[in-house]
Amino acid sequence: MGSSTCRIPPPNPELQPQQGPGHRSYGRLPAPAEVRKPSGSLWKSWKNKIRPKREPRMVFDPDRCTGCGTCEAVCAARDGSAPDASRIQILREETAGANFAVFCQHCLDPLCLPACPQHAISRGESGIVSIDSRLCAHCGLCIQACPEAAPQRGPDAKVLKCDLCGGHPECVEACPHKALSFSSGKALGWIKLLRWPVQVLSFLFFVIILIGTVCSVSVADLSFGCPFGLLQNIAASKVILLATVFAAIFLVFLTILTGRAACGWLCPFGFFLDLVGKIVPQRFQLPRFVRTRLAKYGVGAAALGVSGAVGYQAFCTVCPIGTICRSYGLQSVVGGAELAILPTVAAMEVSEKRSWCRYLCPVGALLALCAKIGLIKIVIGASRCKKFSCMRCASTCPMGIIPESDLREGISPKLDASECIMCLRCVDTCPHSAVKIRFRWQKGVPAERRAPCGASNGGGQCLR
Amino acid sequence: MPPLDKFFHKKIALVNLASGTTAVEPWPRSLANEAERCIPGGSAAAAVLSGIYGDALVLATGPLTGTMSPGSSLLVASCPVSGGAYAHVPILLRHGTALKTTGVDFAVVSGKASSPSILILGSKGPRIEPAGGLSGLEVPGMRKFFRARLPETRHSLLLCGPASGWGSCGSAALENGTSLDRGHLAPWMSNHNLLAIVLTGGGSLPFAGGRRPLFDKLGPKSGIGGFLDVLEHVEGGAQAKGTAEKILGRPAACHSCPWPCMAYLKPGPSTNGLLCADHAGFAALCGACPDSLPSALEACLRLGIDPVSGASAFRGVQPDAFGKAIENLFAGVPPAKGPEFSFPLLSQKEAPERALAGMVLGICPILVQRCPDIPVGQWAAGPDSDPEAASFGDMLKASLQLAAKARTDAQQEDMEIRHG
Amino acid sequence: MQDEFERALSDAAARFCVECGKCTAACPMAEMYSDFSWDLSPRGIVQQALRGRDILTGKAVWCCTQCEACTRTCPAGVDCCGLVAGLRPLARTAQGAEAPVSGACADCGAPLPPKPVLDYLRSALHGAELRYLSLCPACRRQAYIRNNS
Repeated sequence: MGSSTCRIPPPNPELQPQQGPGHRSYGRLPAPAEVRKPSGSLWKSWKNKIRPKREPRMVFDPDRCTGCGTCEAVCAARDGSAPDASRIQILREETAGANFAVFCQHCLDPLCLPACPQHAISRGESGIVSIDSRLCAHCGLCIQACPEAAPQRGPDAKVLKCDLCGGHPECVEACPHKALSFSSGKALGWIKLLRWPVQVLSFLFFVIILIGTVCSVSVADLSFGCPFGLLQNIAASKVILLATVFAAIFLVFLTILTGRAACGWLCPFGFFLDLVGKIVPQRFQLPRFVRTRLAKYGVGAAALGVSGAVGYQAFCTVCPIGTICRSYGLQSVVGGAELAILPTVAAMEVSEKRSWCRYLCPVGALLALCAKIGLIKIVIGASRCKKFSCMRCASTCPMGIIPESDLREGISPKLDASECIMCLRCVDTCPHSAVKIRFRWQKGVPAERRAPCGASNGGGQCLR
Repeated sequence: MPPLDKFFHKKIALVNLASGTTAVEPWPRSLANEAERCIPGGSAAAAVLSGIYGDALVLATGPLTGTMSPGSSLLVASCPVSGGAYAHVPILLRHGTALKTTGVDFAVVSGKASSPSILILGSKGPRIEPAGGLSGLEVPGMRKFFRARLPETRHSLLLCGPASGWGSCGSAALENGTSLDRGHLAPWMSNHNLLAIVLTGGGSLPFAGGRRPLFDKLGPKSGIGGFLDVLEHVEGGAQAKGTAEKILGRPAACHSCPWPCMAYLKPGPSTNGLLCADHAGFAALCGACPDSLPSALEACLRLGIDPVSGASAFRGVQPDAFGKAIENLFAGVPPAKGPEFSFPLLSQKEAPERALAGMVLGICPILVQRCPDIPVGQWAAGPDSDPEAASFGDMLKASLQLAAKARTDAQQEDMEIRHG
Repeated sequence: MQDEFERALSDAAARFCVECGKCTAACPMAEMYSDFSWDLSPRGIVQQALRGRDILTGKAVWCCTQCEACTRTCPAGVDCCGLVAGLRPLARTAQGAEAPVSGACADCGAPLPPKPVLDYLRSALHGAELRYLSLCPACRRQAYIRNNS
């Protein structure tokens, strides 16, 4: 067979560095210098955790672009080719009244990389996804794999792709209207610096300091109670006590006003799960029948039914939120046995973060119903979101409500307010400020309106 | 070596629709001779080539077409119109660059095709193809047809919509739903059974790099206003300006032009936006209510009618009858007669000359006219005044005379006919 | 049919093939298909066509990505890629409805890469269900713009 000869690697690829373009590389060519990883210290890795390093990216502002194609001309001049074959392409979508720049977004998880049969595409240390022209066969499969078909066929049908000019993109400098910018986005997410202390304080308050539980607390004349506990109480005793209703209504109002922030910011068991989720890697998958978000409503209904039948608050005996509160103080003697619940539930973290909250928690189910009629929601802006190239929000969302598949397709995902726990991790993590908190009646993220003509044009030229 | 020589491929594409033959040849001798004493670009070259090939459509680029010089994407389409006159139609957006990247400077299209045809000018030479399913389509359908037929390439189109088949002053609707053709090019194309010209580009330019420094000079110093200022110079434009201000959205620009002078119709709650290139006055001229304006413009662009000419059709017409209204107005009306393209922009004395210089050099004539601070010579030489371009002024003058000669001959003829 | 076959061979200058195998060495198909063999390789396709073997009924001509790496590398000037492109219409008539073409762009109707190529792409992308794979690159950009402005 002829094929067998060509599949056998030669003894030493290092001895054959001079390979013409289009020739098969036997094994990988020596990696460019930037691919090699520097030795990372512990301090560096911690620094990266606290303030994640973001490589600068080209950001395109469709509101400023006039479609003049100066970027194309500059880019094409690099190769000495025609602007039609430049690595950045300006397209006009006349029915939407918009210009759009198509260029490589240098995805965090690029699809062109696995698609390339020649292994010519690599993602360097500085995050620049580049095609090694020594290996490329110009088959165009990267064009087929890319959601926006960003690689471009240049002169002689060769595949070209933006390489950010090695870190100093010329098109950004050339753009007369500043529609292209080169930035790493906002640097520090401050919300997590607020959320973690709040979570710790609320954990300390409910679990350690308070003699009592989050389920029912009285501080001076103010009382605070679990609304689901109240429902069970009513189901069990068939008596409505106005005082307990007032105590429970606080959480309902809070949820209508701020969404399920109680789950994300206050719930002591949620904090516990967040900690466990940070330590335990998410490796396994729960069985399909568990992974339905409607299950928690079923659990809630069942708990109410059982409470009515047995005459006491049935779910509260096994409720992890109550259990974690009862684990300390005078009642801990009783709680000792109950504490077995915590590791059981926390063990679900090996599949998905906050699995309990996603699928099973009936308290969360009740709050989800309140959040459905709540006043605020989280929206992801269509024009600012970098979609498939970033997907940081989808990977950081503890409730998993940001569908990665939509982002892959380049569609702005719609978030379900009833499943969102308002932890604001997505707001925090988005480098492009595309995730915003909005009132439910607001349409979406309004594009940042600036004067359409850049400052370089002098005054009095804008159409409006 | 003559200045600006390196900006040409020195090739010419010859297309004979009657015999179906195409060829890419070096410049004819007379054009090469002219190049010794003037700049053989745009309308000047068209004047020479039309002398050689007679009744032919000449698509011509200038020396600066495709450079990074501001506004340098001009394609000049020159064709004979009724009355023996010659029309130079400036075509903007990215068409000039698209022709130059096919590897030729000029394309001469002559003869009449026996059946509806398409002319494709690509980096592998020109070719004539039968129109096939293209005939009978409206302009959006034609665009879709080409996207399916020539995938992977971004093409610039010159399309004849259904209106040109009415034998009237329909216009060529370009790819982005725009037209600078006031009823000259499209009638020629449809008379010669040429439904579409496709410029696929994809090759390389004879030069690399550009003349960008002029960009920085252009904006603040030229003192130009937005496109709405154009309306002030049009008859009854002041009122039009007021109307248009309310309806136009953000601006857009041609390829390599830093100055956004075109506009989108502002997308309303239920309507989409559309690009208004030269016809910002359309909004006011057609007198339709703002909500139905996009559908009026869309009707023009769908059928291939120059929107400014078609605007008067919409007065007092319901939006659902827009298509019918255009047909009533234009079907059977012979093409507009006029030897030259007039720019209703500035009333300066040198304005026509500046416009013509732009048409020779391959720069948008509107932009050249509206930057009176920047001498045309500087446009070609760049701000550093290239020593090569010392004799540039004389050469430009010679080419202007060459281009103007064809024009004045035709004008005189036209005057004679008009005053009969 | 035979005439067209001959014309495809002569257009591609296939008779100049010296069987050096450089085309196969440059061909990305070797990395794409686990069943890659002489039958699928550009050298194999050229030789089968020259020897009059039945090449039009198998999947050989449908696996090619039309990248022209073989044509670029051929020392004898054989346009292997052009040969495959020339044989595809013939194979389509020979195979009829069973030809593994993956249809047209859902939006504009432009032809998509043949089925084996798209199948490879899907498997390389870990079987992800990507709707945009049914669009041609031009329409995909348009769809992307529609979703993002």
